Amino acid sequence: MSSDTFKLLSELVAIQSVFPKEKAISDFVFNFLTKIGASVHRVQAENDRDCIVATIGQASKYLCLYGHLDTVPPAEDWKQDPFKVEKNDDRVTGLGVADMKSGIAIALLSAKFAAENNLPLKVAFGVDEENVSLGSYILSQHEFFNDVDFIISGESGQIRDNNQDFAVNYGRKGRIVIEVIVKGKKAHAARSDIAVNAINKVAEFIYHLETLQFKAHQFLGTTEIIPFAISSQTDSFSIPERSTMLLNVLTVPGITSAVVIEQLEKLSKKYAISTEIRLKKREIPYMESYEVNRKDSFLQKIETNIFKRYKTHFGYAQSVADENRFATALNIPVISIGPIGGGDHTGGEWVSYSSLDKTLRVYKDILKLKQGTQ
Amino acid sequence: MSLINLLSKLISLPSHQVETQTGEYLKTILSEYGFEIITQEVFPQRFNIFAHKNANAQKKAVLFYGHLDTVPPLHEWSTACEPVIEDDRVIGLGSYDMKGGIVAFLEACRKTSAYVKVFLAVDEENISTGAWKAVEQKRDFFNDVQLVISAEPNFDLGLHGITRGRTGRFVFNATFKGKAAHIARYKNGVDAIHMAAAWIQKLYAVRENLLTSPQSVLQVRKIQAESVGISVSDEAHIDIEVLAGAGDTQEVIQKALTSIDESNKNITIELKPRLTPYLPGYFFETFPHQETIAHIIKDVTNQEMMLHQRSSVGDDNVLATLGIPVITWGPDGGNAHVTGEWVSISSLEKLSKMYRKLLEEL
Repeated sequence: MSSDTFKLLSELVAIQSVFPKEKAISDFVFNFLTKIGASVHRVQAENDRDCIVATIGQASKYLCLYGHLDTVPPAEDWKQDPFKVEKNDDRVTGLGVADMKSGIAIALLSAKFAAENNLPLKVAFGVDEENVSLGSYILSQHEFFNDVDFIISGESGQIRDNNQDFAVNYGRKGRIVIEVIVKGKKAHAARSDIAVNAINKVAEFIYHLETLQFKAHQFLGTTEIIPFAISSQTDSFSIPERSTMLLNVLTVPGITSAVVIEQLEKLSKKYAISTEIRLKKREIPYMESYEVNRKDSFLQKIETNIFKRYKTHFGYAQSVADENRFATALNIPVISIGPIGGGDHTGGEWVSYSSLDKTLRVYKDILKLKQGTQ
Repeated sequence: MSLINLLSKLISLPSHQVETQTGEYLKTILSEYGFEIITQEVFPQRFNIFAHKNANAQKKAVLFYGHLDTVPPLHEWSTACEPVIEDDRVIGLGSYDMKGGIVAFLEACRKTSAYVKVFLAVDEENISTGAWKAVEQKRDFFNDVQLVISAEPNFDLGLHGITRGRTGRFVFNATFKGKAAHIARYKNGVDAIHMAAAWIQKLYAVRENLLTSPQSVLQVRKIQAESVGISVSDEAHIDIEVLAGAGDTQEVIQKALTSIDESNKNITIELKPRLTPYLPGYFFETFPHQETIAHIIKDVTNQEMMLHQRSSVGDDNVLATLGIPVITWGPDGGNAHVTGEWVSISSLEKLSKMYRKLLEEL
């Protein structure tokens, strides 16, 4: 037996879409959706880099399925042609099978199912997720999402329990970069008595970072602050007056960048370390952490009517994805439902064959459930 | 030209990138004052100046030393090269370190009939390339010099303070090897930045007693690390600068630095390579005309001459390698290497007067 999902997945993997070269897969998705009768539009992120949005049927509020079109470049440890899926028992391998061409295949087949059964649905596909998420940034500003009240992304989010039927993800950590400038007091190197060495001070600051305590999240744990770049140098025979440090901050829901900056400022005040602390400027905004509201009525219906019938339980992901953008910028409930898989970004990326169709079945059930709630 | 006018002119000639303008201008002044001049190219457009007047084969010369360069101004000091005179102060980049001192000895030399030499070097604020090139390639110029007087700032030692010894200087590089890991799994990695920060903390906790000489001072002068991608940093580097007093040799310092965290095998400490030799320390128990200088100081400042050893280095260390006694006898001032650098006008006048008296006594 070869399922439709597997066949479509094989086609999608064969279309190379390593960012920033998503044009071929954008065209494929556009044509697929056009053929099933959806109202399809391109949303340009950059030249030759189109996100695709499509609407099926009429509704006041839509469920939207989402997938990102790009993959990372193939890792060096691929032992097969990464662009040709291979199936061994229940394991399907190939570049992007888990991250996230299975999700695209399931979203497309769900769209086909919606079109065939007069179920209203929106689908959106973004570029550049594996880079700085330009696609989701552009999409988040588009009116397409104005009448969307629930988003499901087809990425599994590194759920590790392979005994589940499929993976469900309710939230993710955020990632922001904070720039800390530690100021000392310059003087001739012979006058260390009147100077403040900015390198010693930045070392002190790093040391005290470990004393910072943020409210932990039940599932995502604590906010982590990890320095990833540091530099300071005197220009001559002087005591250094300025150190610059960049901090990678992995946040959990409730801990926004503003909260982190406030805590860091308090820390410098407490230890009398003179600093300037700010979010490092980036053209595309950072991804703050998110979690879906467990009391959302549609989510509760999905849990009660559908998830209950399967072997699955929700998890949270430690890394960021386009879901962060939609959840925080659009304030729409977002969950991920993806087939069981793993090895993302490595030569052994895989997805479970049996999980593919189970996941598609769940999507179809959710579409019907959504229709029932209109 | 008056002492203040000359100093103002020198401040207005930027010399923190290349010293060309300052050098050219001082060549003119030295000629006007009756000096014979030769130059030595150190880098394109950057040259040392060797000058002498009243040469006398029967006598040995006193040599005044100055450096032509300054440090760069701090970013907020946009008017660094626009001298300002306020009360007893001339404010401007290099006023104290050390265009003021240069002006003081030039004024003293203007009308002297004594055999006097002047050596003006480039690159002192960097790695003393000028001074090293001079002692290596123009050794003859120094052969008949009996005493080198460096007009470097006196750093609160007063006009009566004479520095007759300085520490040496070394820079060591410490490399911290961590283990990269994706930050989502940062606990699997070993963060080199944390390792370096912890080491710096330990160093500063013990640094007062780490080395043997009370003159020895150390500081971290550079830190650099950057992870690749969204990872934990696997390598960090720091530079430790050591002003080394007597007994604190390269080996002693290396051992002391290694002792900070001996158990961590992922830390490597080694002398940082550089283009010119590191500056060795020096100390002269006595120096020529010591008593005369003491009398002059007493006469002019009404204070007893005080002899010092300093925890700092400069071209003075390079000149001391010639075996000729070097003393540092410079003006009062403040804010060396920072915004608002200034030199005391009255101290420049007194210093110049003392230099002149010394030349008269020779």
